[in-house]
Amino acid sequence: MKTYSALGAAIALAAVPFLVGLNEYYLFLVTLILLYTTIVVAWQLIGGYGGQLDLGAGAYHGLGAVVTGFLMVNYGVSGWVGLLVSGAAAAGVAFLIGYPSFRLGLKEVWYALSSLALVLILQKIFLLWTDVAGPLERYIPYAEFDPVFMRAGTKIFYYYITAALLASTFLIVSRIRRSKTGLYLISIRENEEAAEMLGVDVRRYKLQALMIYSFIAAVTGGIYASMVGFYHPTLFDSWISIQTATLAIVGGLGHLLGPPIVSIILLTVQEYLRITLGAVIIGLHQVIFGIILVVIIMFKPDGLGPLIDSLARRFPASVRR
Amino acid sequence: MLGADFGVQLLQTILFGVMLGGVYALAAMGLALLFGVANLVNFAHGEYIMLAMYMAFVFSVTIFQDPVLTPLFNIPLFFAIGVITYLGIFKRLIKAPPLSQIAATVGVLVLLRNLALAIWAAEPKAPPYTVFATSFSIGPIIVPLDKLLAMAVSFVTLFLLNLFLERTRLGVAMRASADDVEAVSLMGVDTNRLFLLTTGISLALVGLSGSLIMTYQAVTPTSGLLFGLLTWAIVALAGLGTVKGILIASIIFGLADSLASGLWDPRGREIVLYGLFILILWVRPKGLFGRR
Amino acid sequence: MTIVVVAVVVIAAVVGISVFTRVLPLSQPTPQVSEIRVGLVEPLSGTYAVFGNEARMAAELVIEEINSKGGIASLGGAKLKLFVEDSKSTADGARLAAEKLVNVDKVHVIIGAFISSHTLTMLDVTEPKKVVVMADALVDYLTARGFKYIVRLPPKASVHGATAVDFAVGVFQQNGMKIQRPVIVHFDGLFGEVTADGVYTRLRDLGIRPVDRIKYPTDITDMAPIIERIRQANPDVVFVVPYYADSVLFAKAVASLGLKVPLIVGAGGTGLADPDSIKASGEAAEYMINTYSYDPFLPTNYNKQLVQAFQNRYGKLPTEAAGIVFYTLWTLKEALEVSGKNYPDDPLSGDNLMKALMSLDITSGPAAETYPSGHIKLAPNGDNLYAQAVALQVQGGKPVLVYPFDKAQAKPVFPRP
Repeated sequence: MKTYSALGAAIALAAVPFLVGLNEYYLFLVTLILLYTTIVVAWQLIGGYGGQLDLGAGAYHGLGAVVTGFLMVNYGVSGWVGLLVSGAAAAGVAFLIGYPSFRLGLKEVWYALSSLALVLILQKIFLLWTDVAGPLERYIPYAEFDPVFMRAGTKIFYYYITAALLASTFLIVSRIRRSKTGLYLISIRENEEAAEMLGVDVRRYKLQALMIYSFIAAVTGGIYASMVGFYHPTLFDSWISIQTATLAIVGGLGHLLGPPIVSIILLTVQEYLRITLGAVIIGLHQVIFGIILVVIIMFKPDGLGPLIDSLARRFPASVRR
Repeated sequence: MLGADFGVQLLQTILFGVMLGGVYALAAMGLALLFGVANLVNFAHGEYIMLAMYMAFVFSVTIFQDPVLTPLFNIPLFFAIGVITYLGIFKRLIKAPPLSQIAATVGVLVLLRNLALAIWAAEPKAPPYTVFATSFSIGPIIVPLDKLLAMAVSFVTLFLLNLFLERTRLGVAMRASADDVEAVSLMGVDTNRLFLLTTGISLALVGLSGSLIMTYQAVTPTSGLLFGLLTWAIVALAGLGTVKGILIASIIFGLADSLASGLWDPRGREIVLYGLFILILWVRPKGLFGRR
Repeated sequence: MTIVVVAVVVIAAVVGISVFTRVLPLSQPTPQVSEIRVGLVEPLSGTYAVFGNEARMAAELVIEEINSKGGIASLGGAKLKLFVEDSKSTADGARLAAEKLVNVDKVHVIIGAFISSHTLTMLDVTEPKKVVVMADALVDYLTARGFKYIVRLPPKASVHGATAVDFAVGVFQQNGMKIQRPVIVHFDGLFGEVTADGVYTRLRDLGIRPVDRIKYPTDITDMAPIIERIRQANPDVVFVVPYYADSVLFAKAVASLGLKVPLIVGAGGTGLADPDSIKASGEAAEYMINTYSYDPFLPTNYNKQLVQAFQNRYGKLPTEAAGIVFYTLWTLKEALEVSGKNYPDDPLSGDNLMKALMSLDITSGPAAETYPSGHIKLAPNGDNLYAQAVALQVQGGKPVLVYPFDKAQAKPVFPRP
């Protein structure tokens, strides 16, 4: 039964490019929305299940863009390989920062701050590291359609790659949720000390969650770089970190359906506001975005997750929490 | 570049560092107060500083010509903003778990940052010429008057704040609250009013520091993030003990800032600052002088 | 029951997205020559908003004038329609703006994006679709990489750099001196690098070696360390390539830290000596010099009239950003007239428009009257063969033309007091 809703979602995803009339501009926006939603879904591992408010998404996403771009530009390496390499690099960085952080019991605000600092540290390092990036944009060679290299002139190519990524991420996260690892992670979120006393290797599971999420975030970065055809250290963007965390929280920490649905809706609304109002009052759409966030977090601190879940429950045998 | 020349440059850089640190201390003090007294994690602290800087710009362009006079408006304005923020948002957050506080104040961060975007179109702003933008020399060392003045004002304010915390009833109550909130309320202090005042003072300090920073520096859309991380880093280093602790921690960061910019590369400045932050978190999670 | 779920989800998706994109009539309009759609990508928010807004003002003013004087005669009086997009001072923003203009607004030509690195990202979108870009960005690279649908009228970055050097050498010579210890300071972006290279190359060709070359991050907020480093080098002339906000910081830091240098010359047209920078820097702007792609004091009839109109409407003197747009738009008009006459079947295609642009040799008319050298003719790579930069200095709180010496309004103040 669950497979029917999954099938429906798959059909909807696949149909989107045609629904926007194959217009390059709208395809671009929709692909972006799905890319950011993918990060939100992956974030659940560390934030929703692991209970750490991670603000490092911008670091991993940026790393994916820069490493993939660098390999494509300097070595002509296929983007696919670039995605894998940058994902591994991001997981590596995540390990380097996660291991000491978790080992030394860095929690709550300090973890959030250090992950945010990571975004900026990486940005400044790559601004100075002119062999790989530096302050000048680097341009990825144009190709009308080169699926081996992973570069195309039309966005539809990137759309389907992203849709596939989103779907796989969703499946991975829901799989983990049901697995032993997932249960351990949630027990950590509920009460870390208790979990530890019961013998759960807190550090190991948090680190696993962090590394998987960082890998996926890097892949989104690599896809982005290939799509826009250039990379630059400004892709290490703290806004991506903040946007991811807030969308995930509004969607409901630890809920499966809430975050992606909320993410798609709110990001679409943001784009719509930008197109209509954006030129009138610059930034108004984002102010509204900010207001929505504050209001929801204040009045519904569990986010919209429970609401969406109860809606889903009206349809029996649908995907549940 | 070695020898006497380098010596002079080093001294110059150290002087800048101490002056910067003095002003950073004021910026960090507000955060330390809020975190210490009310146990409130204000993730948007940096954004408030950015807002104060932009407001200082607005005031100096519209009302005063000289940014030096903007604190006259900025301090009361931000005290009021503090009160409103407390009544509107913080009051509900005091009892909430830290993760919720962070989440909610991140929402405030988003709001403030985008407000700045909407109003000032994310343009960097530098204040108009101040009459203090000159310098005098002590031997081979140049002392910029604007930075010196900012530092002096900061020191005086911190001194007065310290007096307040140690000599007045309210101040003592605040310090006691940092130790044990329940004991304080059991002793009959209206904690609600206490926290309201704390938030007001915290943001008033932000208002003043924003004005001071604007006398010698520009505000950009990323200023909020930078000052946010910097002030939290200072609080991490200082722990939550005393004004003196904050001051010393700030000067350490000011020196790191100046030495990185002057001796290495201005682009390396943030790597050093945030790297130092993370190092402190790993090595001394309780801070240098901390009590918590 | 789950079939209902599937149906609801699919229908919701369809409705939602169709509403979002208003796609339900799916046809794309074929371009009629009832109007010529001109796209403008400029930074209207963010770090470089000062320039973008000035460019937009210039575009609106000139297009109104062209339209009110009958539009394009050879196309039956067709009018120009302006589509403005904000690049948000980022490369991503410029690219997104170009995507929208090309795919949604279906523009025939794009003017932009002022910042060289942003302009390059636009080309990724415009080249495959054969949309002509008339660049108001200066980096040489734009016309040196074999892009087919780009022209650039203002003098390129290296010319600005060379002009700054020639001016400085001339000033020193007039005072019986020679440059011996130049220092180059620039921000670390693409434009900063290339313009500084231009300065360096020119110095080297004249046999002069710079004593130091200092780079700073574009988003620098405190110039004190840079000033100190300059002071250490003890220069007799400083060449600086800033953007806007950093130019203000630079000027103020020079004043407040008491840096004494006989001559400070900017290159690249952004910051230091334009009205916005003067207003923001106050007294610190005095005696600052920069090279520009446009001379607001060019004494031709049309230029004087246009500058007056701009000042009346917007309350400030037009400089770099506005000036480039002035002559770019008028050149576009000339090209459209030619294209309409020579290629009546398809006057607005990228190829035909490019051919029309290449065929131009303008020495009179509004385009020439607003251009510093008064002569516009494009080389095969898209640059103007007769490109020339001028230099303005702030004297008494106002910009004044000091170079070329034979056209100057006033003698440059040297050395700096």
